[in-house]
Parts: sequence; C-alpha cells; structure tokens
Amino acid sequence: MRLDKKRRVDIVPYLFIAPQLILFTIFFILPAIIGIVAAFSKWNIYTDSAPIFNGLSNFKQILFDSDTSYYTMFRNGMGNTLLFVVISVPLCILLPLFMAIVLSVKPVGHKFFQALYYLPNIFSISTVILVWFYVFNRSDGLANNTLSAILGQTVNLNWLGTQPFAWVAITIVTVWWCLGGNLVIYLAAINSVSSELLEAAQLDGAGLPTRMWKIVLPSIRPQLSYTIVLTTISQFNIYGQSLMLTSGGPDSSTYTMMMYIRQLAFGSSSVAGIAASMALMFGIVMIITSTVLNRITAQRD
Amino acid sequence: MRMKKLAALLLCVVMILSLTACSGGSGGSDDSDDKTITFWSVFTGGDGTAMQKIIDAYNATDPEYTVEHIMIEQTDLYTKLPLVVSSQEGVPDLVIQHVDRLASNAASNMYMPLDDYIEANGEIKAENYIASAWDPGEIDGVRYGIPLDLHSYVTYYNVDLVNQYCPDILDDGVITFDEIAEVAPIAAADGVYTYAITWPRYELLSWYYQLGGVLSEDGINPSFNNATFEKVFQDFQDAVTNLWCTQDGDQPNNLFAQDKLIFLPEGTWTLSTVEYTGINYGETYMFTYDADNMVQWASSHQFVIPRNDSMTDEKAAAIMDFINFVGENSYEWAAYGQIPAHVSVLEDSRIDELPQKFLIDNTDALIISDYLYYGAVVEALDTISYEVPFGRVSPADGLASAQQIVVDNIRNQ
Repeated sequence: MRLDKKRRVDIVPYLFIAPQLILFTIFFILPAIIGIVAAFSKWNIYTDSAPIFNGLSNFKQILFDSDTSYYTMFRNGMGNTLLFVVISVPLCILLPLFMAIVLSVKPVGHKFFQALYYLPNIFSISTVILVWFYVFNRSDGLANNTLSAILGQTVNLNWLGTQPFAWVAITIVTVWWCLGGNLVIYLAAINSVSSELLEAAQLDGAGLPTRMWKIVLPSIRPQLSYTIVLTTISQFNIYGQSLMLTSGGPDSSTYTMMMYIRQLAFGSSSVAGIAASMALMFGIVMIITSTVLNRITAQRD
Repeated sequence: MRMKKLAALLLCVVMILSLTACSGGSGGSDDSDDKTITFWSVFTGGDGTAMQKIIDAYNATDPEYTVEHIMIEQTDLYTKLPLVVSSQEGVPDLVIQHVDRLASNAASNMYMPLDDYIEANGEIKAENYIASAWDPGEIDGVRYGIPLDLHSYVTYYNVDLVNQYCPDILDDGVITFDEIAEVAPIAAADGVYTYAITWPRYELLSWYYQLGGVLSEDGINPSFNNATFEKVFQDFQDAVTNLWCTQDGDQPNNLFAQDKLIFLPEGTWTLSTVEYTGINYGETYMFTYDADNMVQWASSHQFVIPRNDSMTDEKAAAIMDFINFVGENSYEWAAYGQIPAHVSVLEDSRIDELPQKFLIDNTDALIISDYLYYGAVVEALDTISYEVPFGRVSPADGLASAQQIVVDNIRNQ
C-alpha cells in the first residue's frame, strides 16, 4: 500500500501550476536560453541564417577591446545606468515612505491625496514623457517659467540638453511616475501595524517620530526589503525616460544600457550577438545587486 | 479530489485555448481564397490619410482584389517584417520600404523578384517613372522595388523675414552659404535666427556630397571620417556658436511661426505642419555650398512584395494593377508634400500650385545612396548629428566614433 502511494504520481498540483509554468517557459526560460546562446554568437536577426558560434569574442569586444565602439558603449551604458539607480532608488523608497507616514495619520483629504499620488502610476511612459517634455521645454516650459517667477529673473535653463539638469529632469519624472506603487504598499503595511502597540507606546510618552522609528519601521521591514529589491530592478531597466526625454544626450551621458542593447539588436544593422552579451553581463550585475540588497535588508530572524 | 482535478484540467484547457487564439488570425493572408491585398505602410501621420484616399479611390473602382491598408510605425514594421517572412506566418502581400533598406533586405532574401510580374502587367515600366527613383529598385539585375515617391529635405522660408533681411536671396531659388554669411550676422543682431537645427541627417549628407565627399570609397567599408565632413560639421557648429542657427532646446517650428527664424529646414513631408502655422511661407532647396553642384540628399518609398510561399500569379497581377493605379493617381501624394515617382503627375496642372513644384521639376538634383550599409551609417551619424553642432563633441571625435560604430557593426554581422 505504502509503495503504491509512493509510485503514483499525482498530476493535480502540476495541472494547477501548468498555466503559469507554460507561460514562464515560453516567455522567460526559452528566450533566456536563446539569449545566452546568442551571447556567444554572431547573429543578424534580420537574416534567415542561424547564429554563428564565435566563442568569447563578443565578451572580449565589450569588456576588453578598447578600440571597438561596443567597449565604449558598454562602459558608458553601465556607468549611466548605475548612476541613475544610485540617484533614483533612494528617492523612490524614501519619498513614498515619508508620504505614507504622513497619510497614515489620516489628515483631511488623505483619500484624495492617496488617489492623486497613485494616478501617475497608471499612465504609460509615453504619456508621462509627453507631458514632462513640455514642462522642461527651454523657452515655453513650465519649469523655467515657474523658476523665473520665483527668482524674479529670466531663467533659461536647457534642462534636457545640459548636465546635471538632464539627470535631474529624468529623476523627477521617474520618481513622479513610480512613487504611487511603493506608497500604496507602505500605506497598507503601516495600517497593519498593531494599534495596541502604538497606543501603548503613546501612553508611555513616545512621540510620533519615535513611534515611527522604533515600531512602524521595524514592523514593515519585509515590505521595505521587497520594494527596495523590486525598485532597484525596475530602475536598472530605465529605457523610456532617457529615450524619449533626452535621446540619450547630452553627449551620450544619459544613454542607458537598455537603449544600447535595443539599438544594437534591432538597429538597421543588427548585431544581436553583441547585444545579447551586453544583456547577459547586465543581467549578472542586476542579479548580484539585488541579492546583496536582499541580504542586507531582509529580516534577520 | 475529483473536483480539484477537473478544475485544474479546465484551467489548462482555457490556457491552451487562449494561447492558440493569440497566435491565430494575426492579420495575414494565408488563405488563398482571400480576395484582399494586405498592404503594410509606414505612413502613420498625415501621409497615412493621403495614402488612404488613394486606396479608397482604388477600392471604389470595384477591383477583384480590394486593398486593406495597415499602417505600422516604421521601426516596428522593420522589426516585424523579417520575422513574419522567415516564419511565413501572416506575411503581408505588399509593403512600403525606404529605399535604403532594399539592398540589405534583398541580400537577406526577404523580397520576391518583381520582373515577371511587371512584364505581365505591361503598364509598369521604366519610362513611366523618374529615373532617380526607379533605378535603385533594381539590385544586381533583379527588380525588387517599384517607387512611390522621392522625398527630401527642403528649406521653408518666412516670406516677410526674407523681404526684410534678404529680398534678393531667392532670385535664383538657390541659397548658398556665402549668401547666408551676409544675412545671418545682421539678423542675429536683431535676435532673429537665419536657420535651424531640426533633423540634420539630410542636410549633413547633402553638404558633404556637395563638397565631393562619399560614404564609402570601395562600396563596402565606410570612409566618411575625413576633413571634408569635418568642415561640414565645423561650419554647422560655428553657425550655432555665432547665433546664426537655433540653439539647443529651441523649438524651431515655433520660432518660425513667431517670425524669429528666417529659414526652417524640414522634410517635404512636413508641408502640412508648416501650412498650419498660417504664416506666409515658401519652399526652396536646402542650403548649398556650391550653386553649380547642389546635391540634394533624398530617399524614396518603394513598394515591395515580401517573400511569400502562398503568393499566386493572380494575386500578384492584382497587386501590380494597384501599384500602377497609385502611380497614375499620385496627385494626392504630391498634395501632401512629396515628389511622386510616377511621371503622370507632371501632366496634372494642379501641381503648378504646389510649393515643392521646383523639386518636381528638378529631380536630377535628388541623390539616393546605393551604399549597402547606408542604414548603419545614418544611424551612427544620428548619434552625433546634434552633439557636434551644439558643440558637445568635436567634429573629429564625433566622426571617428560614428565611423567606428559602422565598422564594428559590419564586422559583427
């Protein structure tokens, strides 16, 4: 009887996970394998011919061969992307966290503000950029006009064509666009913190800052860890903002890794092998970064 | 237990069904009984409306095969077409391609040769088309493309400002840089720009060719990183520095409409936008270094039939009829701003009213690249075509990096 039970394979659990598994295989595992194979090949995706294996040549070019343009592109793209991650991730975490704390004490109209802050999150990146592109327009834009009014003198900043303003603009747009998602998570987390604990602390004379720092923050640690990792990954993937707002300029200083990868694979002369090898290196950096972040921030009990 | 199993099975079936539903019916024309010609074009703007007018007129003639027009953003079309051709699933019957894509795509076996179909049709022939548009459709003795038009960059001018600053500059319809050098400092003193940086690709290549440059000496390796191109870029950079030319972050179209810009370089396809500003404008050639060698860089939209195993002679004949109809009825296309490739339009008296009449009359000035890696060159040039004029990169460094990109891309194909 016992043996029989062991031998019989119960397919029900597999049937339940099958839909997700099929999708995951078709849209993730298969492309990932093709991508890894492509990284070691010479491949023009516009031709019928299959990728031609060329060993480590792609990696040699992007990592060591300083005469090729791919070496410059990879370094520049990686540097710019890392810079953006370092600037934007803390803002995308701290700002929503602060706003969630403020909203959690339920000021007048908090529901309205909660909806308002979440709103940009549902827009597509193209819509977001179209709006902000005009805000940062040099001669007629809202940004320069507002600054002019405040400072009482004509401000003629070329936001999208000079640094550091191009990064400032991209960061503002990104934070505005994505803070709603994290805000909702933090609000839900803060609301689920035990009210008895908070009341007890209040009775003991702990002020709002102390209660937040000593009770709320440690309680929502899992959510913080989760959002930090996810936000980091999504900021690594920056594409639409710099593509549409600055076209990677000025002087390629906002050209990100994803832009190079797409341009190389799907440009008019497709060098998909080079693009795949960059994607692979980029993926490794992302995996390492998020693992380290997860280790640092995850609950240690 | 049984219920659970049933539920799981149901989930799977729904899943598989929805997946097959996704892959089926993706707008192709595999069905040989189908009496429609699926036509993919890159005309997603006002040009789409103009093309639709011609197609509606064709469908109104009650042809055996009607044309279904599907407009796809051009980079999407260029990515999608190779995929449908190699899988032979949902291959469109007729597609518009930019002429510079023809050579490399034909080399990748993406098109069907049209010679037999053209011969069977009898109406489509070289003498019916402008030579500079017709010739590049043939690659190594095989015809793959039939031209729709030629399009180029032109100079739109603000008539009031021209009268104020340089009333004689358009005597011969040609604006030389020598003439600009006289006008621009005076206009700049008034805070008026003489010309603008819009999309410099066509101008840069025109100027480079006017000075005798070529993209490739041997037809394979790029050779545009040289002193001639440096001069073109340096002059452009100087014009920005001297305030002859609009600055980074300016909106040239707005400045043009606000009487703060005399000459607006823009595409022939931008006519309706310029018209919309409501100012008194005219249209002439791009600026030139040499009035005796005024190369005007151009491109062309070409009809191609993608490789399709299920294409029948009957359907191909219908497609040829349609292409010929478009050629013979291309006034709408001219009214939109382009230069139709079919000579029939020259007999239409209405074209005398069109602002681009000067180009329709002088298509010899229009030059189309036949360099196999032209697509790679212009993409590389686009990476520096704002950076150098705006002074963020030196002409020498910019050209070196652009040429290196092309060299690398050719090597890694």
